[in-house]
Amino acid sequence: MRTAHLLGGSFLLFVLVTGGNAAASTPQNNLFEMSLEQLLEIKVISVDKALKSLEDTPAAMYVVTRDDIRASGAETIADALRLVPGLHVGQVTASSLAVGARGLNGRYNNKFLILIDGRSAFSQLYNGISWDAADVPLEQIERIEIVRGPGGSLWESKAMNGIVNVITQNSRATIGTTVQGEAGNEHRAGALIQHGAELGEGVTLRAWGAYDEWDGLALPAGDSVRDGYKQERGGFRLDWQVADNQTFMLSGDLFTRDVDDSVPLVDLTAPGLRRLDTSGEEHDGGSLLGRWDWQRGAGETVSLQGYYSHAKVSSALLDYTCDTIDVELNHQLPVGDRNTVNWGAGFRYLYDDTEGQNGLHYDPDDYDFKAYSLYLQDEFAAVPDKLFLTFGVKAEHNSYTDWEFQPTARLLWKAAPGHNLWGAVSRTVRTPSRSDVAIDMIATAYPGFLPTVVNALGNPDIDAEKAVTWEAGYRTVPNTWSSLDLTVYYTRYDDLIRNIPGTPYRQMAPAPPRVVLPVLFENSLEGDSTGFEIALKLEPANWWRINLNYTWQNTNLDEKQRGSRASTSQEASFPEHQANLLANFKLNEKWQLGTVLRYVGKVEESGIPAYVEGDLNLFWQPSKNLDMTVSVRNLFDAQHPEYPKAAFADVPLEVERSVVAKVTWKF
Amino acid sequence: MSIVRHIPRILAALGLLALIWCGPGGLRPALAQTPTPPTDAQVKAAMVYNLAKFVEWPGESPADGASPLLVCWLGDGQLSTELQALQGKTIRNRPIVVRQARQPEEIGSCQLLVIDAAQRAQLPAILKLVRGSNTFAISDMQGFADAGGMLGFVTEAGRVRFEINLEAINATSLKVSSQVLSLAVSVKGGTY
Repeated sequence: MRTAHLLGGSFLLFVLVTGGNAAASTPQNNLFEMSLEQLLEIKVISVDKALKSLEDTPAAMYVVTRDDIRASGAETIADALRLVPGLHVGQVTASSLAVGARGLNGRYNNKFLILIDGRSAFSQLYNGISWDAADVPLEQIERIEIVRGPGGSLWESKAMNGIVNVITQNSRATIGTTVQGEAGNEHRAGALIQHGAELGEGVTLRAWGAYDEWDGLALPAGDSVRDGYKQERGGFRLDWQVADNQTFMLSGDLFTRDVDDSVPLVDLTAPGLRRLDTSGEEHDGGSLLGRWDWQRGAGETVSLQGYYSHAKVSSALLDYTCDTIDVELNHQLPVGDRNTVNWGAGFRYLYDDTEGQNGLHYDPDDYDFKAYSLYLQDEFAAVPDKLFLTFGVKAEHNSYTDWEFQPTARLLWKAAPGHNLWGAVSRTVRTPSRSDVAIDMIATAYPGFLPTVVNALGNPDIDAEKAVTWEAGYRTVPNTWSSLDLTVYYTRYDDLIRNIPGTPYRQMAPAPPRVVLPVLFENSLEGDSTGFEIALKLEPANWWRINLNYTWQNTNLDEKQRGSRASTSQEASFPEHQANLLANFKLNEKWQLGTVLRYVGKVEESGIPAYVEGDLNLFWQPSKNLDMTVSVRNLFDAQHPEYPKAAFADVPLEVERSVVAKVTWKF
Repeated sequence: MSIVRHIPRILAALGLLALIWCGPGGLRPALAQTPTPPTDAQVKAAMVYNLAKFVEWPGESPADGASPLLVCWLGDGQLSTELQALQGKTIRNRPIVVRQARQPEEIGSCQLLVIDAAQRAQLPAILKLVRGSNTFAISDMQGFADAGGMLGFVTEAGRVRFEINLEAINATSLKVSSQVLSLAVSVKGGTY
């Protein structure tokens, strides 16, 4: 067993060391001897200074391309994120997931942000990602850019451990009609109709509608759980080439989602103090986003973005509506020969109106949240074309914690052609959410002489969570068919929010009498996280492509006062080791095979065992207009658990093996 | 999980596969492997040479060996620099002459005109001059084909591709092989 380990490891190492030298050395003139078809396949290095390529970014950035999404058989954005180094994706229920980066995760993870074309899908109320707001048809995605680590200052948004930006295709690229249908055992039904047209000179529009039906997960014994959902969505994207150097984009969407769910509600009059509510949830929402980009020439760019989003949820615990307005201005300009200054201003306004029931309510019921932010960043070419230093700071004023500052210092050293080294130290802050500040919830109850009721209480004086992250990375593109990306990091956390049990007290009225155990939100945790991430991309042949990723992390969180290791901290529910492999084979003109192997290590804190899963996707393109796919996901096990539903839930639900067939017709 | 035990074996298998790939000859096709990747400008220049093979200028006869094929360039960028490598090569026995188009009047006499991306501001004027002549206009500025240029280079996923504006081509007496049209990432105006 050990020898196979060593053998495999050493071969891989050998390959990495010698791979760069395997290429034969031929002069550039050979390009003129190639045919047009051959030239179209060559990967080039762009020398366009205006575009910051992935290689030159002093941050842990990873890009999931359209090809990757297709080859992996991903059916949702979360599926596509499973193959990103540094991230952990765990399915909690059929409609919700725990997605986190760099050691911290949770069903409602507040240290991770997902943006769709710059519009945030983070729910201030749930303190986590709204998966319905993040649900964009995969067919329209151009690429997904993921930055692990602090996104607080370099990109104008707040996310402590990671930020994902889903970029949809320009409507210019989707002229024509696309009809897509899917059917399977887990993804019961899926239909998408999309139509794009040119409206006039430089104006294109895409309009789309989609319907999806998903089956629920399973209990360990194998019985199905009623937690599936049905959803209808629709939207549009309009792109206008206003002038040679100005573009305007407008996009909007509407959705309604009907979720089945079994929620144990605390009911002191019920046997076992629990009552199972199966009424489910209804989510509705929509958004409108506008963005104007202006390239003034000589590397100067201005962009102005504004969006409005609306969310409405009806569930057994909570009815709420939330309206968000967000405006951001960004201006980048070269100053002198050596400096590039980037500054911006932002304004965010949120209004939510809640009506809690069955033991949940927010105090106050509704709230106006405002945040103003300003950021300034300078990139200085210490050694022109070789060494770049960046200093930036973001200042934000928000309704909960007043002023917060997030400075960052970064370094990029282009040591040799095709070899880049970067380092960064950043301070990030996570401002509290509505739940941290204003929640009043009967979380659970224990029977006893008098029933004990656990009451989670928000803290209006709570502070923001803080983190200082040190990172370094090495990127190499030794030839046109391979690239290696290594990142190492150390994060020190302070003032992390945790629920601390307070002093229990007796409450005689209203009946029935009970003992109340208040659980308060306090900035009581501190700790650190260390890890490294490896991403290897290989294209051994024109018809064969491999992405290989490995992630290791170690996170320790301790109670500040007591100095003891924090037990059952769900936030530290992150596996120590993860690895995945995506291999894509172009069998011939019409046939393609995409295979995925995923290993996710065990998570002590939540008792989820390690698992290895595989996905197999077969693609057939009988003609230019028709595309058919058959996928088998989670091939190895009939079902396996990925993430627990709640800290005090009985058993985690399990993801089942699934088969799905998809037909796409373009005309 | 019984599968987890097999991981060392999977790693070994991968290592073996990688060795096969890396070994002598290997699975790499006979594509020229350059020590450093070519720049997009180098690939575009090579493409211009190749594309010219598929364009037919009016009045060209098979025995027309002597008259040179004039490839003019406009602008001062990377692409123009790389274009110099075409000097002296031949297409259908016609020697290529690479020359900078300094005066607007010169453009009409060029068979191929390669316009640098930085010439964006002059685009309307250039297109006006090209219209009505039999000059095949190529550029790598953004949106060239949409704006009325005949062939525009675009970069997609690190590879150089091109868009074609068939309307612009059909407005001249130039003939472009359907093979080129089928390789384009998009063909604007008309079917083929």
